[in-house]
Amino acid sequence: MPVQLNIPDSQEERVSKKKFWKFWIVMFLINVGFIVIIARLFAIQVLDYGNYQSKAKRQHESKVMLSAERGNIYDRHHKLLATNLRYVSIAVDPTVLKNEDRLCDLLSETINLSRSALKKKISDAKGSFVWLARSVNQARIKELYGLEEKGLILINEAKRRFPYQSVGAQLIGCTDIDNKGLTGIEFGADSILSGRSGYMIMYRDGLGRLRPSAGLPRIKAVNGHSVDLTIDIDLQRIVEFELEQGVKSTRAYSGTVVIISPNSGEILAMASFPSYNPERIGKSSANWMRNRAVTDVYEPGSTFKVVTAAAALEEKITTRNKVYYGYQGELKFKDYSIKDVHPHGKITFEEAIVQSSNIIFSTIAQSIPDSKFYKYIRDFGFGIVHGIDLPGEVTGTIQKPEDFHSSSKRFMGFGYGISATPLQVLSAFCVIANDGVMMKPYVIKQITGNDGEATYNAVPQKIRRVVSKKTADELTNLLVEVVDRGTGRSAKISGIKIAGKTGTTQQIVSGKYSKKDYTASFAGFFPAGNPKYAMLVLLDKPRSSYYGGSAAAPIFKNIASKWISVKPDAADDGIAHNVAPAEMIVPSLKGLSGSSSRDLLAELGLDFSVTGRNGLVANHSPEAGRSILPGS
Amino acid sequence: METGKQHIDWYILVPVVGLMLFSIAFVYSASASIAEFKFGYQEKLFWSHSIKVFMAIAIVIVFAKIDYHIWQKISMPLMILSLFMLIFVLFGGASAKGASRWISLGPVSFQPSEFAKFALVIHFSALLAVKQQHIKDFEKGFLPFVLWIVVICILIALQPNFSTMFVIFMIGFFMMFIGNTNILHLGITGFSGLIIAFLYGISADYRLNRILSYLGMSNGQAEQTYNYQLTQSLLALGNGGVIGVGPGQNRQSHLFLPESYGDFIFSIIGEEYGFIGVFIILAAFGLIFWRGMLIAKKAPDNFGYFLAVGILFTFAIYVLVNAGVNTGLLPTTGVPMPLISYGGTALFIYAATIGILLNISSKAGVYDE
Repeated sequence: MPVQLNIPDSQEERVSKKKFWKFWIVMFLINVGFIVIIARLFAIQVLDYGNYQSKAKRQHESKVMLSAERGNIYDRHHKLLATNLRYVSIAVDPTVLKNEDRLCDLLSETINLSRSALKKKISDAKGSFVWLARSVNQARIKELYGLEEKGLILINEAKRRFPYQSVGAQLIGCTDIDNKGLTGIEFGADSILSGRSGYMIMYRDGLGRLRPSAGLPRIKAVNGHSVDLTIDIDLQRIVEFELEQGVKSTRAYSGTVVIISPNSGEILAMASFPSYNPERIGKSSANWMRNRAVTDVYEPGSTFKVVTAAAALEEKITTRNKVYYGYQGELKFKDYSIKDVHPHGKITFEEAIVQSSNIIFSTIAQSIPDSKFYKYIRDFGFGIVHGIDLPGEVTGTIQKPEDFHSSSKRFMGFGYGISATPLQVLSAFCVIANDGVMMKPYVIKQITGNDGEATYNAVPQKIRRVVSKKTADELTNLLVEVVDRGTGRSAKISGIKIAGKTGTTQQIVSGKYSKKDYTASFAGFFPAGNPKYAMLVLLDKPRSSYYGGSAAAPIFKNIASKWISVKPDAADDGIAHNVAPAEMIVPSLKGLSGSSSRDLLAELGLDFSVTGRNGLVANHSPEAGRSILPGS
Repeated sequence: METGKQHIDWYILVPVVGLMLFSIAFVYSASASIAEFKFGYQEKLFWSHSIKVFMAIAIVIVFAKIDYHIWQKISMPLMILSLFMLIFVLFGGASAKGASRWISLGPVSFQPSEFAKFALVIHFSALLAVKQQHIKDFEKGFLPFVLWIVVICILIALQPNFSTMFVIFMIGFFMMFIGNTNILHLGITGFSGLIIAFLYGISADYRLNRILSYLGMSNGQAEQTYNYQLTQSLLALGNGGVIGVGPGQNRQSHLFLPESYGDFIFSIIGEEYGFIGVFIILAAFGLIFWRGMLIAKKAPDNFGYFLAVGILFTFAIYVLVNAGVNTGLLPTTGVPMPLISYGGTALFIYAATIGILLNISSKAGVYDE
């Protein structure tokens, strides 16, 4: 192509054609540059795409857990025992806030911050996020939900609330700060209650701020199921009130009460004192959070004579009127002796149980063959777990027949040399109360799904027949005698037949039986003709009196009589009782919805009036924990 | 000499206006997140860039109408003006990140180094055109050029703005090469320039660290700081893959990649439009370059030839350095992508040079008549 010289200029010498090699060098270098860049882009974007993409995904996306709402826990009459209270934390994004004045006005009315303090917080904020209030009760800021304010950020948090506070706390259990079950039913049934949390993928920016996007995966949370327990919270409250009085008046270290419905195995009440408040677990000692009725063992002592008696009667080794010799209170052996509190001469088997003679029960046990005795102990549920739906159940220890030595049976006959949980001892009494048949004890009565449909209904389970009905009836009659005129007289309530047995055990302190530390217990059932309630009362190291009859039996009596006054058909025979109506404790209603509170109060038979608008209960009077009479 | 209807070189105008218009979309996606963070609303930089783009298109048209020979006549005053501005910016300039690079005129800020680059290209073209007879002479054909380069490079180095200084040195050097300067003289200049550049490069900690980091020789801490931009830039490109994540869908401008609408907008385009997208961008620049070089070859006179080559070389070196930094081929330094990056002065200067190129084209014999 010829170069045109349009402007001839003497000063100018046109760059000649042969000089264009420099032009082409520049062209060439620039083009090489383009090709290198394109090759590099190809390497990054096409060849190494997968590597960069996964790195980018890690940088850009963040998985946010969507927590499932934890299921409620109810008692047998569907009274609310554990639920969730929604708290809200309030923050604002000052960069997009439009109606700052209006928001501050509204907030200052609902949270404890002045208008100017709020405005200062917002104006002092650096960046796009500032907390205004943390963990505010949702009921108090209901108005904020209707507010269409772009800069307002409300973050929901759920906290576990227990309307009855410490009542049933060891059984119901508590949750940790993340709402995971820690103890009791909350722990044992955690997988049922907790549901399945979901998640959503959110975009993250360079400052770590998250933003949702419709195109990213989102898995909804599945809320937990609700659990109805077999316990009766009203009975539980009476139990805990009386147990506390009993522990305090005997100056005992602690006490435990269990009540079972012997026909079904349902746990109706289960309590230990001292207890704790499940809403303030930080301040509670772990020692009092244990459900001692299943986690702790003791030597059952004389209450275990029921097992020895049942075995001897069933095996026809003894009869009610068989006469035994009481060795005048002390049976001596080469290296040990067995003593009775009250010396006996020749007395019948009936008297031996009524007066709780260690010597005679030792003699009877000795006459039962090793393997038979062992079989009955096992059949009554000792040395094995019941498999109750509560965490931490222990087996206790019993000796195997091959490990028996010369004195083994003599001591086991009156409840020494074996250890058992309160639940195991009471279950043995339930066998007698239930015509010789052992039922599996349980706490979970029903599980209800999110749709309100029950997914599980407990059915009473027969474990085995331990003794014949005849033996059970005979033993029941003997145990009625114990309460009528024997060691258990303190449990007697006029007009109702109670069968029971006392127990007083020396505790082993550093390898020796202590003369100071005792376990006082009383186990029994009523009404004896048609047992509906089997109850064990156990006091650890009572100081004022250490006998089961004088320390534990009165607590049994107080609980039974109060319960009969609340629920007269508990006595079956329907005899009128001159017992004053028991006081009841006002439940805590804070944070419950209006309708739940209404139901709860109606069930308790309390009148109430509502002030304020719909929503969640913010406050009530009288406050929780105060005692009032039913019907008020 | 302008008679009748002026020829319009569509091979240049279409890709240029196309790139400028598309840059509105690119800048919007790349700046929305930062604009919201800094100013509270996403459209802040988008609007300001949109206005500048339309002003730049107007500048293209205006400059295309101006006979390019006028620049030959006023090249010296332009050079003097740029010297004054470069001196002024050292004392009265607005500073950012420790460097005084802008002259602030109310809401508008002006970058004298951009103007100086433009002035240097014009003035060298003018000088080369008249000095062709004595071009091999050291005093007449070499010294005047070198003096200009040295003065301007020193003034820019004082700001300090290493990358612009380096690019201006390259532009001057290559124009002298094209302009038939004595190869021996040129070789000495190039060699000493490299030594000066090296000494300057290691004279400041941040530059030294960047260079060491590029060479993979720095320790952990510096590595993190100076490699962060590069890591994020490569992540943006890599995440785009072949077809990209889609317009407006980039994640890297969400406060990960600094300067995402400026020096690193190329990577954001790579993320949103993939390899195909950045290939098309480079192809558009390639088309401008090839067509421009054809114009240069057919330019009616030496001034037109040198001016066109200088303008195109400036474009090419900026495109290559920017893309090289974005892809990690060159050490990280702040050089904008012509016609696409957000920014006022540079965009207007490029628009003006494109206008000049179009005017040369209309006078060159590239049209069959």
